[in-house]
Amino acid sequence: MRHLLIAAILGVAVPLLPGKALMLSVNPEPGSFSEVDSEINRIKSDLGGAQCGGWDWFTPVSPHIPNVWGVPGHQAADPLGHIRSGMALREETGGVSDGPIANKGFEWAPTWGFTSACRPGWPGFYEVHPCQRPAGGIMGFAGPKIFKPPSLGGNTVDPFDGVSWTCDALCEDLNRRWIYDQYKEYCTICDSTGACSDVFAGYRDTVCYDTDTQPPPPAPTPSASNCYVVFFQYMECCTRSPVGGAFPNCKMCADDECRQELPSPGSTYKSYYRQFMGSCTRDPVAVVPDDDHERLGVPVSCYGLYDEFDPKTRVTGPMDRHCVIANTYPGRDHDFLEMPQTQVTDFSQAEYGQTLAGTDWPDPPDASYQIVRDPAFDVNTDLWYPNISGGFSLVNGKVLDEVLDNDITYALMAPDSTEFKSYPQLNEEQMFSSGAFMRAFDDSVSNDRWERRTVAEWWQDIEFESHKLFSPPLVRLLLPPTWSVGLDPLDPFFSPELPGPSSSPDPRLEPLEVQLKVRDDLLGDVAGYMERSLILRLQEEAVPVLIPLGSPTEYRAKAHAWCVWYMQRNNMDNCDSAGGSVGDLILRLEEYADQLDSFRELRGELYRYQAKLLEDQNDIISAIGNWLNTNMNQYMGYSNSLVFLSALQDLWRNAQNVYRTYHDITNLPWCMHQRYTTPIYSMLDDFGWFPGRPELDGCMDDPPTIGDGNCFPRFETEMIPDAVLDFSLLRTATGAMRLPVLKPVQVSLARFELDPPNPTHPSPHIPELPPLPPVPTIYADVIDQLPDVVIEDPPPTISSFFPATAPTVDPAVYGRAFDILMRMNNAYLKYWESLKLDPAAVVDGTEEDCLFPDQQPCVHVEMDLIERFVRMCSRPAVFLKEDFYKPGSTDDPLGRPIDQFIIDFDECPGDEDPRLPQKWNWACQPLNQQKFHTQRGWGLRTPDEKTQEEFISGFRGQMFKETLLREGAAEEDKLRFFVDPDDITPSFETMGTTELIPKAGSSSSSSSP
Amino acid sequence: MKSLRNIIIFSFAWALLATASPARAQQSDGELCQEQIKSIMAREHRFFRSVIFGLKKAEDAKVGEVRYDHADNTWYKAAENEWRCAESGFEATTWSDSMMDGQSQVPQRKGLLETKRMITSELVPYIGQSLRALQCRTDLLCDGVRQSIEQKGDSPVNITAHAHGCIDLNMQTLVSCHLARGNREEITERGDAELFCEQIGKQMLEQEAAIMELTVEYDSAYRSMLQLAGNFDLFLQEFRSPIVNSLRQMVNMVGSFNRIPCFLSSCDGSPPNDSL
Repeated sequence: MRHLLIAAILGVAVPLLPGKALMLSVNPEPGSFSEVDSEINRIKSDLGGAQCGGWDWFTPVSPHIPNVWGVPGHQAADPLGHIRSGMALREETGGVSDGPIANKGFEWAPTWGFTSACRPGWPGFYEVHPCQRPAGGIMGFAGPKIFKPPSLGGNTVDPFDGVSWTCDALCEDLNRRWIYDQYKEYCTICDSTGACSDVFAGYRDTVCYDTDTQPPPPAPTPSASNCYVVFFQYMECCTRSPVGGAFPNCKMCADDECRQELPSPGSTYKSYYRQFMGSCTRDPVAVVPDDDHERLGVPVSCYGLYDEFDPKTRVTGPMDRHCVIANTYPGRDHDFLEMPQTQVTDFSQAEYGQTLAGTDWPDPPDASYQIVRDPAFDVNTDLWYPNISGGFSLVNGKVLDEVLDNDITYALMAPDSTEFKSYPQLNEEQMFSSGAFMRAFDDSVSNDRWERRTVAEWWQDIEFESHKLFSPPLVRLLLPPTWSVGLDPLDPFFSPELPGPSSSPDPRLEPLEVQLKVRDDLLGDVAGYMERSLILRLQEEAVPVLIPLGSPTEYRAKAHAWCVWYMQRNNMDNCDSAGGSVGDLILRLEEYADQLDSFRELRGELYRYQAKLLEDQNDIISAIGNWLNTNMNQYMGYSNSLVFLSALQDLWRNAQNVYRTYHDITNLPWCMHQRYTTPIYSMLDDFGWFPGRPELDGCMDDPPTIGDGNCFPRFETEMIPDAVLDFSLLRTATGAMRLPVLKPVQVSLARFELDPPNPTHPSPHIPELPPLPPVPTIYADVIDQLPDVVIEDPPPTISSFFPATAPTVDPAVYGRAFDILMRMNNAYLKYWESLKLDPAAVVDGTEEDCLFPDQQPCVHVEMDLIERFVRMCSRPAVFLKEDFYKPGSTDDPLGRPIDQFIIDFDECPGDEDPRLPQKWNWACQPLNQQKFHTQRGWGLRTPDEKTQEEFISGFRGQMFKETLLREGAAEEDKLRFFVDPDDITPSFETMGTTELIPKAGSSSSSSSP
Repeated sequence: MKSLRNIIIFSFAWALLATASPARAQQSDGELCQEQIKSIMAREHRFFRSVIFGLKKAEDAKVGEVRYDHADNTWYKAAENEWRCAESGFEATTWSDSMMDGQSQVPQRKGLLETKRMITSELVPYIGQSLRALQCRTDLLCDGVRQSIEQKGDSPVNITAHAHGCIDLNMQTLVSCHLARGNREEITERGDAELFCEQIGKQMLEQEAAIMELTVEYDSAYRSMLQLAGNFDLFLQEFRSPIVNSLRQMVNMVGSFNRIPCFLSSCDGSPPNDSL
C-alpha cells in the first residue's frame, strides 16, 4: 500500500515537472508512515518550486509593484527609476511637512493610538516598553483591559499569553494613578488696623504619587507660619492639569496627533501606541492564476514612544523594532500560509525562459539552433555529414554504401575535422545562456549612491577573489600520441590504470591531467616513460677475430715430448741445457701453453666498454631523476600549501552555504520576486550585520580590509595560470647505438708437424714456431670512439610556472563573512517568520501582542512599514518585461545580455561602463589562464648511420688484418693453422642487417622489400 | 639460355684449373677428388644464392663481406674500396671495388627477391625454377664426376654429362677424380667419390629447398607487413592531425569546464548542504 501510494503520486508529479529544470529525488521505499508523509511533503514542496519562475516578456513590471497605504514609511518615487540598481527609486521629497524629517518623503498614515505627556520611568509603571496589547474593548479590539499589578484599576490577570498590561489600561492608570494634590495656600495677613484676612498666596502642590501604591502625600508645608494650605484639586502629573480636565496624562490620539507632540500645560504629548490598518495591492500577474495580490486592512500595532526618523540615515536598535503586523486574525485571510501554493506559475501561459513568446524564435530543439558547419553539404557526394552539431560528424551512409562500397578504409583515410571551442558571451541571435541586466535584490541601494549595490558588489567581489584563491593551477601534460613516437603502445604509460581515491600528499599520487587521462603517479610515470624511452638501445655488431685454438695441456705434452726426445738423443737426464732450435721449440711450446690461456681475456673486452656505456646511461637517468625530484619537491611544497587552502575553503563553503540559505530559503519564503521593491534600510541594522551603518558603502571603494569592523571584509589575490608541460614533441631514441662485440673465430693450430721424430734420426726436422700473437684488444679504441653523451638543459620544472606556495588569505576574512551573512540571514528570517505565522496557532486576541520589542511577532520598524508592506506583497517570481530592461535601448526594449564589445572580460571585476562610477555587476568566475613554455623535453640522438657504420667497419677491418692477415708480420712469424687462412676468411663475413622499418620519407605505399 | 650455358662451361673450366693447382700434402686421390667436388658444389651454391638474393656491387658491400674470385680465393672487404685476401701469396694484395667486381666468381646481379612491386607468390615460380636448375646442375656435375672416375689419363677429357629432365652439359672431366689413373683399382675410392657427390648434392638441395621455403614465408610476411605499414602510415598521417587536434582542443575545453562549478555565483559549496 505504501509503495502504491508513492507510485501514484509520482505518476501525477512527473508530467507536471517542467522538463529537467528541477530534479526530484524521492525515497522509493519509505520505512514508516511518517516517512511517507515526509516524502509527500517533499514532492509538494518540489512541485511548488518547480512551478516557480518563468518569463512573461511583454508584461510591464510597474502594475505589479505593490501599492501600499495605511502605514507610515517611504513610498517608491518610481519603482523603475533606478532600474540598474534592481531596486525602486525611493521617494525622498514631500511627505510630512514638519518634524525631524520634514519634506523628505516620509508619509504618515491614518492611525489611532494613545498619547501621553508622561514619559517612561515617570511614573515608574510607565515602562520604556509601555504596553503589550493595544486595548481592551475599544476600536474593535475585543479583549479585556489588563492592568499591570499592583494597579488597582481592575483585571490584572492575563488570560492569554503573558500580557501583563494593555495600552488602554496603561492610559487609564496614567490618568487615574499618576496625580498630585494641589493645595491653595492662604496667608493670614493683618493690616495696620489689625484686621486680618486670609489672602490667597498661591497653589501648593504635593509630589506626584501613585495612588494605587502610595499614600497621599501630606499637605505641603505653608511657606510661612502665618500661612496654611487647603486642598484644592487633584492634578495630572504630566500635564499639570486638573484631573478630569482637558489635559489628562494620557489620551487617545488619531492620525497626525499620534506623531505630533501636542502641547499641554505640562509636558507635551507623545504617543506611546499607534495602530494602523495597512494595505497593499498590486495587479495580479496573469500567468499566475491564483496570484494572491493584496492584503487589505491589516492591523499594525506599534508600541513605544513615537520617534520619527529616517532608517536610512539612522541606525535602528532593538527598541525600534516594536511593531506587529497582525496578519493572523481569523477569518481575514491576511496570512501567507497558502502562498507557496498560490504563487506558482502556470507554464501553459508563461515561458520557461527558453523560448520567446510572440517572436519568431521557435522552441528548441529546432533546426534553427543547429550549428551548421557545412551549409553546402551534399548528401550524394560528401562522405561526412557535419551538421549534427558542432562537435562531431557522422559518416554519410549513402555515399559510403553507393560510392565507396562500404569500405570504411576510405572514411578513415579522410576523416572529418572538428573544432571545439567555448562560446563567448552571446547576443540574442545566439540562443544560449548568458548574463543580462538582471540585478540581484539588494537592500543597501540608495538614491544617493545611484546604482551601486553594496552587498551584491561585496558578494561578487569576494566570490571572485575566492574563486581565484580556490582555483589553484593545474598541471596539464601534453604528451605525444603513441604512434608518433614509435613507442610500445603497451607501455604502462599509455595503458594506465584508473585512478583510485588518494589521500596522500605525495604529488606522485595526485591526480593530474594528461590528455584525457587523470590518474595517479603521473610524475613517476612521466619519468619512467622518459627513462624507458631514453635508455640507450644497443645493437650488437659482430667483429670477428681469429683466435688460435689449442689445448695448453697438449702443448705442454708436446714440449715434454721434445724434452724427452732431446734427453734420449743426447743421453741426458733433463733438458735444461737444451739449446738451439730444440730449446727454442720447447720454450715456444711452453709459451704457447701459457699464452693460450690468456686469450680468455677476450671475455673481459665487452664489459670494459659496456661499463662506459652504463656510466653514460647513468648520466642520462640522473638528469631525468634530478628533474623529477626537483619537480616533486617543488610540487610537494606547493601541494602542502594547498592543504591549508582546503581548510580555508571549508570556511568559505560555510559562508556560501549561509548565503545560499539566505538567497533560496530565508528570503524566498514563497515564490516571489522582490526586484524593484523599495529598500528596507532598517533590515540592515537588525543584528547589526551591515558594517559601517548608517553609511551604506561598506568601504567598497576603499582598499580591501579584513579587520575593519566598519567595512565588509575583502581581500585580493592572484590567480596563477595553469601549467602546461608540453612534451608533445618528445621524440625518443631513434635507431640504436651499434656496439662492436668481438666474435672469436677459433681455429686449431696446425699441430701435425710438432711430434718429435725418432731420436736417432740422422737429420731430424725441428720445426720453428712463430710466437703467438698478442691477445687482440679493442676496448681502449672503442671507449675512445664511443660518442659522448651531451645532456643539454633539462625542461623547465613546475617552479617556473607555480609559486612556491599557493596564495592564501587570513582566515578571518571568511570568519567575518560568515558572521555577517549569518546575521543577515537571521535579520531576514526574523522578518519573514513574523509574517508566516499560522493564524490557527495564534490564540485569538493575541494577534497584536508585543510582549517585548524585537521579539516575534513584534519585530517591525515603524518608520519603514510601507517598505515592509511592499516587500511582503511582492509579485510572483515571473520575470517581466523590465526585469531584463536595458535603459537607453529604444529599438530593443527587452533587456539583453551585456554587450560583449563594450565589456572587456579582462577587467573582471571592472567597471561595467567606464563612464560611470559603478562597480562591476557580474560575479566573475574566470578560468585559469594557461602558461606554456617552449616545448621542451629530452630526446636521444644517436650518431648517424654512416658514422656508426664507419665505427664498426674500422674494427672489423682492423681485426681481419691483425689476426688473420697478420699484415706486416714476417712470413715466419705467421701462425700455421689447421686450415688455410683462405678458408678461414668466410668465417669473418658479417652479413648486413635487414631494415624492417621503412625509412622515413620513403614512399610507404611501396611494396618493395 | 645459351649465355647461361657458356657461363657454366666457363666456370667449370676455371674450376678444373683451380683444383689442379693447390694440392694439400699427404692427401689421397680420393680426398682430393672430394675437395674438388666440394669446391664446385660450393660455387654452384653461391651462384644459386646470388640468383635468389642477388649480389651487390663490391662498392655497395659493407665492410666485413666476403667475395670469391675465379680461383676460389676468398676476399674480405677490410675497408672502403679495399679487398684483402689471406691466401698465401696474396696477403699484400689489395683489390679495389672495381677489381673485385671484375674478378668476382659470381657476377653482380639483382636477386629474385629484390624484385619490387610484386607479391611473393608471383616470385615462387621463378624461385622454383631456380631450384630446379640447381638440381639439374648438381646432377650433371655428379654425372661428370662419375665419368671422370673412369678416366685413366692425367688430362681432362671432354664429356657430355646427362641428367634426367635436364639439358645435356658439355664439360671436362675433373682430373682430381681420375681415380682409374695408372690402372689403379681403388674401387672403394671410386665408390666413395661417386657417393660423396650424390650425397652432398642431395643435402645441398634439401637445405636450399628448406631455406627457400623459409625465405618465401619470410618474404611473404615481410611484404605483407610493408604493405600494411605503408597503408597504416598513410592512414596515421591523414588521421592524426584532425583527430589529435580535435582531441587536444576537447581536452582543453573539458579541462576548462571542470573548473566551472556551476553557473551561479554562490555554488562552490556544491552539493548543497541540506542540513543548514
